[in-house]
Amino acid sequence: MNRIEFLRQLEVLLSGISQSEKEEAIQYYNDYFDDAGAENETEVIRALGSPAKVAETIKSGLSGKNQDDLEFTERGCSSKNVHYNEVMPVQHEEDKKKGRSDSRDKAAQGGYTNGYANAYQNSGNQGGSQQNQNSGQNYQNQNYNGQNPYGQGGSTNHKNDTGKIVLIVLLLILFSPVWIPVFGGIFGTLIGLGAALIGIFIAIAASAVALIVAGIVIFGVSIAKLFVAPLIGIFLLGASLLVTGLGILLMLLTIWLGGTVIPACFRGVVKLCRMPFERRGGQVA
Amino acid sequence: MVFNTGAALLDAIVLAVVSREIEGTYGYKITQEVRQVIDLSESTLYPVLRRLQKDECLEVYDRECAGRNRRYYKLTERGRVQLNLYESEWRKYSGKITGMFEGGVNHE
Repeated sequence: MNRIEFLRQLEVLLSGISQSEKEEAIQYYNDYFDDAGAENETEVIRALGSPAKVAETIKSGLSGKNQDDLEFTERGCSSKNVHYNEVMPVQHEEDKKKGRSDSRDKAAQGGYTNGYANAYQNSGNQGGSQQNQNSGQNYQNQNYNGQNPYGQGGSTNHKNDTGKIVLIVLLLILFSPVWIPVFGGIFGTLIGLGAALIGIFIAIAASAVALIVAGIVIFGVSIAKLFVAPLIGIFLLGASLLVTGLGILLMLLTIWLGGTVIPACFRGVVKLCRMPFERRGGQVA
Repeated sequence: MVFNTGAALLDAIVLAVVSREIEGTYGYKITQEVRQVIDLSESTLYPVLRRLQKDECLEVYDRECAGRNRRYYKLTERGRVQLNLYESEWRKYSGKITGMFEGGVNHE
């Protein structure tokens, strides 16, 4: 195959796309051969591969699919879905047998459909392509047929789910005299426990602050007493240190409760609350 | 080369190759220069150039050369912005990966 032959086949294969795109592509590859030089012609043709492959690359570029489908690797660009087969050379031979002028369009059309069928059908190998050509289906049919099963599968699943939800809602409504008081009771108890916990926490915190303040005050008094009545002064000094120490201990307990225990309790409560709320959500919907 | 070149990186390489010529450059030369950095088949580049042209990152014009018209590709303002974006993204990306490789060595 020489350059002229290559470009002519490419032009035929590109007859499915718009005239301007076709001219653009042909000009590009014509330039490409010119710039490579006549001495490299065979090398360029070998490197480009078959006209079918070049046409396929051009078309997949136009359809905007190449971003996802093409993979540029060290072995060059390849499309995961496309299997370049020997359809084109076969058709080219058919061309020769039948005579060019009349069969060219048909061959081109066949090439076009084959190309797209390959691009969109994972299993679309040679057999499938040929069938394609015979029945004259266009690629859109292939494409949408391929997608249909997914849509159907989705809708049946959805229907099943809806039935379940309706059943659950009915049960919830029927048993509402039972579960509303039960959950209300649990909810009330949890709030009560939470309030008690917060009350205890506040009490401990207040005690801690009071003890520390008292300790500091007694410490001041004891210093004053030391000069008046040394024995009472020393006793008060000891008492103030004891009280302050207790206050600091309680403060540490407060910090531990506030930082660790209470958040943990709240998380637990929220978790518990979420379970009935999920069911209630089903009822509301 | 064991790493794949994604579409965005290929765009970036092509824009970078074209940007090196103020007057623009032509398909065969772009292909050869891109092939110096990544190994890609010769037919891959046309759709990329065409897309970049449609996205207005590249503009084309014909220039007389040795008795025929040769199509030249030239970077547009938009193409330059896009190339700058690609370059800064690449610096971030490659920097992170290099950092991870070298960081791993330092800890040992």
